[in-house]
Amino acid sequence: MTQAAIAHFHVPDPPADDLVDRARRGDREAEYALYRLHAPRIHRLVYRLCGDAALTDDLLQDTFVRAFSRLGDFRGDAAFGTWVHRIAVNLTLNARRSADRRERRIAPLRTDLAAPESTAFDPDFPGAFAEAVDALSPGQREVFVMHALEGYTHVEIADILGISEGTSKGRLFHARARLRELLARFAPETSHE
Amino acid sequence: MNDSSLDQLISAGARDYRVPPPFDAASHWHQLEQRRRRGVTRAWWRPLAFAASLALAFALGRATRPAASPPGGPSVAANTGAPVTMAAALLGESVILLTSLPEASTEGQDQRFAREAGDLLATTRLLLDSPEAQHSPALASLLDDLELVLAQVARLREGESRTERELINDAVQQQDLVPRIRTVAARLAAGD
Repeated sequence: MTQAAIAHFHVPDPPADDLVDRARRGDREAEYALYRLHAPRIHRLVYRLCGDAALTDDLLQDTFVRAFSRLGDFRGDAAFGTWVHRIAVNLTLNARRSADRRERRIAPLRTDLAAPESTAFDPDFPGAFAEAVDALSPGQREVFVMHALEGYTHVEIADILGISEGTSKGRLFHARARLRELLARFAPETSHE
Repeated sequence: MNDSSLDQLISAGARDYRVPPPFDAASHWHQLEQRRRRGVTRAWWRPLAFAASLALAFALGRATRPAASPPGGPSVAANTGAPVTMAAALLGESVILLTSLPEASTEGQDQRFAREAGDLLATTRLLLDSPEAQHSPALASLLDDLELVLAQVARLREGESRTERELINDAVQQQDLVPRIRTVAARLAAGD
């Protein structure tokens, strides 16, 4: 399909169930509508999880190629959005987890950060924040990124990651505790003399 | 730091942390369509992996089988530490599980896979804390990656398992799990 043809697509509003049924029958317009509906959010999430634009594009393509070729497997027990998110997150984690773990083993977390003297407006803060998020355990980071940065609910996270809602909440709690510790020097109250 | 201060920091950090680039749905869709037309597939490696892993499973079975001891003499098993024996058995069973997964055609098998993976996962986690893993970066790294894959298998659900299995198989491939198991298993068998 050409880009010009794509531009002429009428993108219907949900219900997504109808789109899924049509996509299952090979309706490309319905596929594109599903893509328009879910790809932007998945793109954001995958990028937040992997931090690499080219890899994000590959993973997004991979996700939808699989999703559309496996629509016959999709039984509608979960929402299509949840299912396709689950594929995307699994692909992303597969691509990143080993690398993350190896990097962490080679470069242990710095715990000797400078004495507190600045705030969130410190030019060092963005780098320190990224370092702190990357220092979370993989499970904590996934939940933190999804909930705190991308606004997914614990119910959605539980469905997508295949964990319980309680586990999702527990991981977020521990992630926040770790960030509190790692970012202590930037806390407003610690800047007081 | 109180919750409100932490929320402020997270909010400030989120503005700069891996800010996603703009998303052009039409252009991405066009690329997706091109890829689908090309029919990109990654399944070429499966027969090779399956054959290699069968050979490995056979070799591991031989390596971990207790040897006959001379009367009154110590057995081979007695000369090896329990974690090493456990690791060798774990690797052998894991490779059988991981290579059976892509071949499984009926979804009824998923519960069995999930149950077996759950058992292996427990052993993997025990071994991760063992002195052997602490002293062998290769073993520790392998167990780390194996743990993640087994955790995915243990979460297999009925109904959507074909896609899930495909994702797991990709993880096995991307992490070179089978060749790495072969390397580590050979070292264990040699007593290194």
